[in-house]
Amino acid sequence: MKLFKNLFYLIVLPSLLAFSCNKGDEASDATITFGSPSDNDTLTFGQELHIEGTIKGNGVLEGYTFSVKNLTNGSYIKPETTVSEHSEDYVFHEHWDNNVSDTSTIEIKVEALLNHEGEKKTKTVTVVCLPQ
Amino acid sequence: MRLFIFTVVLLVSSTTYSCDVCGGMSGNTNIGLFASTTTYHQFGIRNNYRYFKTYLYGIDHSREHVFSSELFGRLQVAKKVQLLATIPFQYSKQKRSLGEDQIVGFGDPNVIINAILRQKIDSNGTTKSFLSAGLGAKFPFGLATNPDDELKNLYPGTGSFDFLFLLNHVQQFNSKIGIQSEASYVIKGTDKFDYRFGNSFLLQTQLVHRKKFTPFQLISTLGTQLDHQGASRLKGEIPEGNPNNSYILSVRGSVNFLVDRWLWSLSMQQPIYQRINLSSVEQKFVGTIGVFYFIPKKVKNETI
Repeated sequence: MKLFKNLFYLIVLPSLLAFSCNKGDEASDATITFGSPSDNDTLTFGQELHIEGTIKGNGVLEGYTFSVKNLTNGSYIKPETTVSEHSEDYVFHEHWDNNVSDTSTIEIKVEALLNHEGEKKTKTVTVVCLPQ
Repeated sequence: MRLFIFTVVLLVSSTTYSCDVCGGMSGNTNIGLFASTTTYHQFGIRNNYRYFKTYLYGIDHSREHVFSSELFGRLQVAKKVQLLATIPFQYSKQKRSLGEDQIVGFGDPNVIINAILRQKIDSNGTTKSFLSAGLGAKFPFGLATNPDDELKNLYPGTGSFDFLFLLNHVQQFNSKIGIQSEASYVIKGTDKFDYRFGNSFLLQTQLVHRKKFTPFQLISTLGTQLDHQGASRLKGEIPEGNPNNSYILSVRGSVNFLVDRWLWSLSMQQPIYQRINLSSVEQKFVGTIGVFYFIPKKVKNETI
């Protein structure tokens, strides 16, 4: 019985850890591409902000975070959300209708979580939203 | 190089309508298992669940769940004329990694006049051979949206007045086994935004097996279904990406219990070949649960 226990600690457990955390597959870089909007776009009141793009890693990514923030008044339009599914690529897709009361600069921030070491790759796009 | 190709694809790709063929746009209708029963009126409710997976730029984008409930009525208004009507209600949900959207509302009701062209009944009152043809209309009373809405296909209505054509054939080989085929074609109209969903076609063929137990009858079916949806047009032109053009070939099976005048029906459908909007959407599963009640007409010379 003791032999089985020792075998478990010596062989099975390290193997499980090695397979579940294969550093060789981890990404060291990622490409974040916005299909929409373009940087410095201007939106009139009521116009829809259509956010769409992809994140593609050179290996398996840990996930990504996404947020939309009004830099003019500091409030979040879409609070920071973390998607923590492991994948080599992601598509992000969100919408928001421009309802600002003052001319505002809106920042869309996408952050790819590259690996266990906590490395990140960030891309931001800003648009100007006009009031009524 | 890989990155360059990917970036080019990303830049030239147009925005994809989510989940083509998800919502009320198909508009195809069918009578169902007891099409050839002409001495009973039939009323009931069909609950349908469809599950889709959508890709954007070839990457997993979302899941779409569409639940619809349909009030169905079939009135035998004359010896060789039936009046069919349905009122659909739909709840649909798109689940993305960052959020979700839900749409709830009534779909477009439809009315069909179905003419019985041929019916042979044997001495036991069982229909041996049956052929009917229907002509109808779908009215734009359901919840619909504008062409810029990416969730347009998840809405229960099309916003258009459509024409429906229906053919139904039943051939009973013996007291237990028969074959039933249904075909329907919908000519789609244009909505107020000059948007027109493509015409749709449905062909369904199934073997029907009946076995009588006391006190119920078990009716099981197995067959195939072909769905085709033409490309949508905006101001007469097909938008980039050939939206909504689709083919789905499915295997379909059902079990039905007829107890007294109540029919309980459960059917499932699994695609075996599909190509929906350049493969950016996959239909994963379709299931239906229905319950119907038969009301006899005054003259009773036929068995259900």
